[in-house]
Amino acid sequence: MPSRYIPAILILLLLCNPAFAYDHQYEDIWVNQGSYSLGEGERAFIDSYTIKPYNIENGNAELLLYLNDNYIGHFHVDDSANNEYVYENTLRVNVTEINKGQVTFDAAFHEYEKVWILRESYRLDTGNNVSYENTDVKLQAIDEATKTAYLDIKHNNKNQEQEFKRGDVLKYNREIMLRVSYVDSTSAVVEFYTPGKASVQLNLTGIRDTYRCNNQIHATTSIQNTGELTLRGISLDTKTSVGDIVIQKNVSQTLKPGKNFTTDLIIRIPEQPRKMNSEIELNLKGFDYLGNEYDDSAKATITILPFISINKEIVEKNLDATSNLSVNLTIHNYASSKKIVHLQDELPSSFLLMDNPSPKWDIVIPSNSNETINYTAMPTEAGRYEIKPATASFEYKGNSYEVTSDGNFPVVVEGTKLEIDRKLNKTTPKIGEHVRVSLTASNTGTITSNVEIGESVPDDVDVIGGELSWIGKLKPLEEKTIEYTIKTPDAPAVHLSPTVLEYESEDGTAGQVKTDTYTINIQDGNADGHTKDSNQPAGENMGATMLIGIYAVLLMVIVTGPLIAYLYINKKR
Amino acid sequence: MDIIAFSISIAFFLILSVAVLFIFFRYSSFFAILLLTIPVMLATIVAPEPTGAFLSIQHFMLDGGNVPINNYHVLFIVWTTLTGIIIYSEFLTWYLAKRG
Repeated sequence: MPSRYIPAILILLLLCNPAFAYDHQYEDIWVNQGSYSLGEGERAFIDSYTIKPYNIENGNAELLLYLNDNYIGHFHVDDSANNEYVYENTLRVNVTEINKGQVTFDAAFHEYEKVWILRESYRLDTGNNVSYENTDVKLQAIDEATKTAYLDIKHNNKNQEQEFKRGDVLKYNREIMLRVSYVDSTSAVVEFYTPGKASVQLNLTGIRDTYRCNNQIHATTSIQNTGELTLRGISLDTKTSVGDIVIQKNVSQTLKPGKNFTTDLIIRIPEQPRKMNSEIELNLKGFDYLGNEYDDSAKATITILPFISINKEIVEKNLDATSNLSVNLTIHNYASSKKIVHLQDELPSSFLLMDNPSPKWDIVIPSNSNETINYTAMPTEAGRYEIKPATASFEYKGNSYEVTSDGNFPVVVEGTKLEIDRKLNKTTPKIGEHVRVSLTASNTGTITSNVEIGESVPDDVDVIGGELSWIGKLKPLEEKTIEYTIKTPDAPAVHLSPTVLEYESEDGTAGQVKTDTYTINIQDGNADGHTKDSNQPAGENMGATMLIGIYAVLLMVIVTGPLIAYLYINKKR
Repeated sequence: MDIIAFSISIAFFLILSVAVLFIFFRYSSFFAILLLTIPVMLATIVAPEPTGAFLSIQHFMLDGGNVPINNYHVLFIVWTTLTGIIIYSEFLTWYLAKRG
């Protein structure tokens, strides 16, 4: 490299000092370190400083100051004019109250920090203006010789004229800052700054929905400074109803904008005899340089499973007349000691147990191991069944607990099975009231069957509509409902005999099923007027005489109008 | 509701109504009234059981299951409507003829 380039590079480096470019965004600020209230002899530890009150009297006190536990001086304060003390432009103590032997003060450290954030930048020609929030700026003129821009500024309805050279700034308290970043012969670039805003975000990840007791929950939490200001005094509080939360790394006290801090959390779940839901809650708190608080929280809900688990398996879910139901039960003990478990399963009554008189067992399961029980049952009746979960009960600390296996198991036993059901829409009607009876035949087997439903109603009961019988074919899982309506007689009760369903399936199986006898208890007292009215046209089975009578009435009603008109016209003439 | 029973019932009343209106417009109002009423009444005398069963066919229930609507109701509606049409037509014909 030629030696003549070296001075040129040095000069260039001097001119390009980057620290000058953004100085206007930085400020000497006092960063709040908290508020303290101390009695005589008590101490406040503020980073490497220690403050101790001494000689507290009415409205006056001496404060002793230590740096790294070395005495460096003392100062006199009161709660009026002489209430602020600054130590070597690094620590500021601002006394707010001296009362009842207590000195209350705020402490702050001096920092040089970026607080103004560029929001908008406009190039203005002479005579043009621009607005940002509650500030209007107009470029009146430019002095080419001195590169000075003359601006008319209107802020909060107050006008101000100000000359700006390149890099000059104008601040309006802590609201807005104007800066002219460039001036040429015809235009100037005006920048608008406002104080930065702080915000923080807390995330909790890596948590599953369910955990077994004695497990550890490994989660990750991250704190992200999503604002524009540095956050200080960051603290993370944890709350959970299961176990203790251990935070692997100490939470960073200070977090610059855009930075994040990540740490692992470990929660050891204690032994639980029953399933329970628990919340893990994290609360984050941080402060900006003015002492304003910002917070965020994260929550996760987990399910803790008990230390005894039971798993039920059914090997074959479609059975025929020759096959048996085979059930496997596996019980796991996750506790730290052996447990005695009483195990009980439940089967529909039409299944006969092959090996045991009843599906009940008492077993001892060592810690962290499992036991398996297999048994078989023979189906005696076709149909579709819901096999219920198995139950394991056990004692823990003097109390009894119970866990069940997951879900119901649908099991199909092939063959013919039909069912008949009778339902009434009113159980205790009044005399003369209508009762709708529904008869539902359903084929719960696996073979199509021809079906005949037959219902007989006592002679003293009027059937006013609907069907009392049905013949047809029902495929597997099909059902047929017929309905009829009766009018309750003037009697204390109506006894409905069983509804009979006769069937013959495609494989030649025939038979019948019946409902139970049903008694409708009739309330003493007539039905309400509305029901009585509705009975009238749809009363008993009508004969020809009744029909003629009704028609005669209709005819009279219809003829009345023309007859009156006829008589009126004839009279007029 | 049984769709087949409902369809047969509606078809019956539709055919009856069309036949009555046809007789009324082309031939005589008297015969139309006879056609409207006599067959049903005769049927109840000649074959009371099947006629009663047909007229009792329930189509749907009103008022939450308290008021059944069956073929009796449909028959009365058809009777009322067609009788009204015939009688008012006759009356207006008489009146207009008298004025003319």
